[in-house]
Amino acid sequence: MLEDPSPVVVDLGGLREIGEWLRREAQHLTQDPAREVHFGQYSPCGETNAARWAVLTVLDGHADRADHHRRDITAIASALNDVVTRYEAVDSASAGNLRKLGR
Amino acid sequence: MIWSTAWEAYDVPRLWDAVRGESAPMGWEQVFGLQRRADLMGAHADGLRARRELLAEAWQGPSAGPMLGRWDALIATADAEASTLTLAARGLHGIMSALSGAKKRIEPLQRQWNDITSDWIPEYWEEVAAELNDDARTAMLVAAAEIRDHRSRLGVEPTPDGATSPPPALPGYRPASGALAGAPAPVPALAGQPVSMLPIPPGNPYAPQGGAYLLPGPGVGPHGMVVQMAGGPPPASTRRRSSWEIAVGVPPVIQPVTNAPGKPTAEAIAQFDDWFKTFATPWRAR
Repeated sequence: MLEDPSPVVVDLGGLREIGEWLRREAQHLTQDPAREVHFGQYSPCGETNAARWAVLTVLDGHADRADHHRRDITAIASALNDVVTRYEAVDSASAGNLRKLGR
Repeated sequence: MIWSTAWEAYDVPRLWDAVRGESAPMGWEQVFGLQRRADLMGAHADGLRARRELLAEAWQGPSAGPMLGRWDALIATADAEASTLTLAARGLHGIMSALSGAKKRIEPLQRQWNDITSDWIPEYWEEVAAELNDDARTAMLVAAAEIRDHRSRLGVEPTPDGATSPPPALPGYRPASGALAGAPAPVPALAGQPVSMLPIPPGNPYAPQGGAYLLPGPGVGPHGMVVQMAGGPPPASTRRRSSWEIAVGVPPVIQPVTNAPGKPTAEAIAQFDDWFKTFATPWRAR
């Protein structure tokens, strides 16, 4: 745990773990359902035809939103990684300064 | 807009053609795949929720606030997507079940249709065919109403895409109300169009080599008529030509026959099946 004069608390290990989890989630969520409809191909029924269209629209919408969501969690994982790197640098600089003071 | 199907424009064989491919394993796989996807998104939302507290503990400070805000947005998105997918899976399940139900109801009607000329005396052929047509049309009406309910739960405003290829309507009937894009096109009541007909397998006294009974209606007239197979199937190159192959000398009025023919050979039955498919359902060869 690293504390500085401002009210900032950063658990670098915890943040790293959360970032890794997000990256794994992005991998798990990669496979979207195929854009296919397996009913009503030969039906003259207007309702069936409308249902085919509706299912395709749902699948399209899901693919778009899922893609957006994946990009979001990847971006957040990257941002967390950035935070960890910057605090590590601060940590390292602080340790160096402390060593200098100790001399 | 959704076109309203005029079911009287379709007979049992046409309706059977429309539903016999339903309830395909790939369709059910898609239903369960969507549900699994919904479960995955739900689990993902739970994971985000659980780690929100960890994140809030691990990083406290002015710049951590916006991150928690984005995290909350992620949770909301994942929750909404899980709900959408669950609804889609249920809706698709309902649609598949409705079509599967129609298939189950129409399949025995198609078998009975094929046996009408064997099981009934000619005076009843038209009446039994009309009853079977009514039953099949009712099955489709029921399925269409169920599909409408399930589709409306998908939360998508319908716009038919016209990507289907249904069997042609009966000649002379308007298959759908309105002239909407993608709706089935009317079939003119002209000679050569596939009218509604009953198979008369070989061995039937009214068509010893096999034939068909053309049901009355547009393109046929007010009275039905027997058409003999007469010499077996036409050459492959002429199978889609638009002319009836009506044997000369066949009386349009059915008369009692006293000399029943012998049992047909397997070859004669196969030849008849091929001829009747080409004659009665030429759209299947397209």
